[in-house]
Amino acid sequence: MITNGILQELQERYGIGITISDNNQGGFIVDSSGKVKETTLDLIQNDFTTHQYSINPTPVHLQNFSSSYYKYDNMLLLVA
Amino acid sequence: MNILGYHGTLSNYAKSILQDGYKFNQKINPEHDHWLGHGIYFYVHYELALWWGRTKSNAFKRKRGIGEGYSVIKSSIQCDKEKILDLDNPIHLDGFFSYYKNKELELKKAGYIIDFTKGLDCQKYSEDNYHRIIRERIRCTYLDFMKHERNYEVVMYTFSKDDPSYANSIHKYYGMANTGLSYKEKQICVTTNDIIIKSEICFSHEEEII
Repeated sequence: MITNGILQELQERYGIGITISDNNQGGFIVDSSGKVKETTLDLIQNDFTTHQYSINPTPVHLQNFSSSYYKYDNMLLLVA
Repeated sequence: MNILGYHGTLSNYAKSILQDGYKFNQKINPEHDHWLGHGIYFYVHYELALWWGRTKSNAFKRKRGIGEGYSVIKSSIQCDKEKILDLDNPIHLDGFFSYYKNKELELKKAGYIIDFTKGLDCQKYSEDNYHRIIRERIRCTYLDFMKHERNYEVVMYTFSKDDPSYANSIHKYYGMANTGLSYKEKQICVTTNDIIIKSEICFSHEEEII
């Protein structure tokens, strides 16, 4: 059950905006476009099913070069 | 059920916690580190709490220009099994997703528009960080709804990270992520001081007692 108390708490805690729509059609704003979406589940599910922060196993700056020098943590690496 | 958790923090805060109990911040800044909703956070692993305390201490020094020690508090948490939402348990995770889906429908039907971007300046953050903050806001909002309605006192989950700052950074240059293994951080989020039955400092500054 949605109560005003919990809605108020969530707004204050996370700074999110909660309003009632004019046409009674609710939804969710999840990016800077301001577009109201039907669901957020597509965004959130990945947090629990894949890695929270993914990285490419090969650093991006090395992918397109057959050979390059790269300075990392005071080491000069030759990447061939 | 007894759970042991480690909390890394600045030494000044640690003293205050031992004296008055953990404090629950009502307002959280946009870059908050609340991953499982409102509550006090513990790591299952002592080493991660130590890393977190050190990170906080370094941040404090950068910001204020003066040093501040850090400590790790070991706390015993006692909670009824039915008041624990263990998201590592597939049944519990399924339960959370079902709850989430139903709550979304309920909010939509009631005509609520929830703006998870409010107050966030997208120019201030990298694209990845901007979306991460929004995802965290969403996840925490629904977890807080669920905790509130179902009276959960503890939420646990093991997050994965490929490239945490505490890891030996050279590993990624040798493609260690290709092993299919990643770093894990099991976090415990506790919503009330009532179930934290004992706390003690197990590390402070240079002296390691544990």
